[in-house]
Order: sequence, then structure tokens, then C-alpha cells
Amino acid sequence: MKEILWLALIPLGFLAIGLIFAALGVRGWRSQGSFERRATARANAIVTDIRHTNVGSGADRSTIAYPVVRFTLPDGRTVKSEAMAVDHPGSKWRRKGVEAAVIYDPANPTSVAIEGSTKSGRLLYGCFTAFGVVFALIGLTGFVLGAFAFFAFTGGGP
Amino acid sequence: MLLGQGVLIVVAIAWTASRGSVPWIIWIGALFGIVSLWSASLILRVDAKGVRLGRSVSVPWTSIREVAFHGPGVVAADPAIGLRLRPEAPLPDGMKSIVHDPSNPDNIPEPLRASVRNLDHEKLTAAVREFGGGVPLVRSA
Repeated sequence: MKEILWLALIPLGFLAIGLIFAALGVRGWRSQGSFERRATARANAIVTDIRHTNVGSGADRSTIAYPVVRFTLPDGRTVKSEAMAVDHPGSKWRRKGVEAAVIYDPANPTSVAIEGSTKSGRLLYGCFTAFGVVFALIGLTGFVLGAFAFFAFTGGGP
Repeated sequence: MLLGQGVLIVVAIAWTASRGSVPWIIWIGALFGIVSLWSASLILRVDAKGVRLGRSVSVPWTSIREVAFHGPGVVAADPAIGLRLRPEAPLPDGMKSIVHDPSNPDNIPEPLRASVRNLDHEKLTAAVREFGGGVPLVRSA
């Protein structure tokens, strides 16, 4: 009996992980959309640095690169900021000193992204959401089938 | 805040000693407490590498234009230190962004300030003189 209850945790684990991924994907998608609506200004920036963040662990460990850009606002202030960007090997901004067009929120100019990268960001968050939904559906199906099997074989009793 | 987290750590240790096992929720609280205590254990470090504010923000001497000392009650109840960066300085480690306004060059962004209880002005002066390579320490109003 105890073993069967433990087995029920597997599909529930799938469901939980799927929901977490889907929630992160939806959150990222919405945040990206909100930024795109606010980022109405454009500027030419210089990539002054590339920062790296490690994500995951063990064999799944990977590194995400963020460009640090410097650009000047119309009022003369200079902004240095980590820009949102999706990391892929062909990205031009992966080298220090290159010029890159950026979009930013005029009300909060430190909220900045490399122009064109937000579409890739949406794609990434869309993949996150799809992956999460598929995972959650697998978990839910496993749980329902497991529950049916349990009641069919035991009649609901221990 | 820190006192509460310290209490949680003591509770976790005492619980382990008396009952042998600790509910996971106490462990999570204790873990947060340890991380917070560790973060709070470094407020300011001035050494040959530069100035470190807390555990996260680290600024090399080559980026610092001047170190500002604020007496008690100026920007906080306790004495405070602030870093004014050179306009061409790169974004310091631990900061995600910074805005430099040439019309207000003495403005110090919040992450580059630290309020330090019992900050010893003489020791700070000596450290800046020893390691700063000529970076001035100014008393700001």
C-alpha cells in the first residue's frame, strides 16, 4: 500500500515541475511583453563587457552571457547597464567593443535590451511554457490513470 | 530581522540536540538565517583591490574618483561611506546598472553607499591613504 502511494508521487512530481516551468514561461513572456510595450526609445550602444551567469548543475550546467552596454540619453546622461539578450553563438554582441542598437524604457533607461533580442526571448519563454504544459499533462495523465488502476484493482480499499 | 534568524539557528541546533531530528521547515529557516548572517557579516572592506560594499558590490580603485564620508545623521543615522566613480569607469561588479549624470557628478547611487555603525574615520582615512593610490577621501555634507 505504502509503495503504491509512493508511486503516486512520480506523476505528481511531473505535474509540479511542469506547472513550475509553465508558470516561469508565462511570467517571462508577460514580462517581456510588458518591456516591449515600454521600450519605445532606441539608441546606439557600445558593448563594454560580457558577464556570465552559471545556471543548472552537473551535466546540465550551462553559462548565460549578458552584454553590459553603455549609451547616452538625449539629456546627456550616460547609462551603463546589463542588457536583456538571448545568448546564442552567432550573437554579434558577444564581443567587447562592438556597437549594438538597443531599445530602452525612457521612464527607466536602465531597463534595456539589445534590439531584436526580445523576439528570441519570447520564443525561449514560449518553449518553457510548452515544455511545462507537456510535462504537467504527462503528470496529470499518469496520476489519473494510476488512480483508475488503483481503484480498479483494490476497489478503493487498502 | 537578523536577531530572528539567529534565534532560528539556535532553535535548530537546540532541537537537534534534544530530539535528534529537526522539522524541515526549521532547517529552511535556519539556512536562510545562516545566509543572512553571512551576508551581514561584511559591510565594508577597504583593501588593495578596492572597496567592497557588503558581499555583492566590489569597486576597484581604478574606477573610484573619490571616497565620500558622511557623518552621522547626514544620509543615515549612522556614519556612511559613498563612492563617486570616474565617468569612464566600467559597471562595478555586483551592480546591474548605473546612470551617470554629468550635470550632477557628485550624486552617489544607492548601491554605492553603505551606512556603517561605529565607522572609524581615522581608520578609514588610513586605509584609503594606504591602498587608494591617491584617491581622495572627502567629508561630504
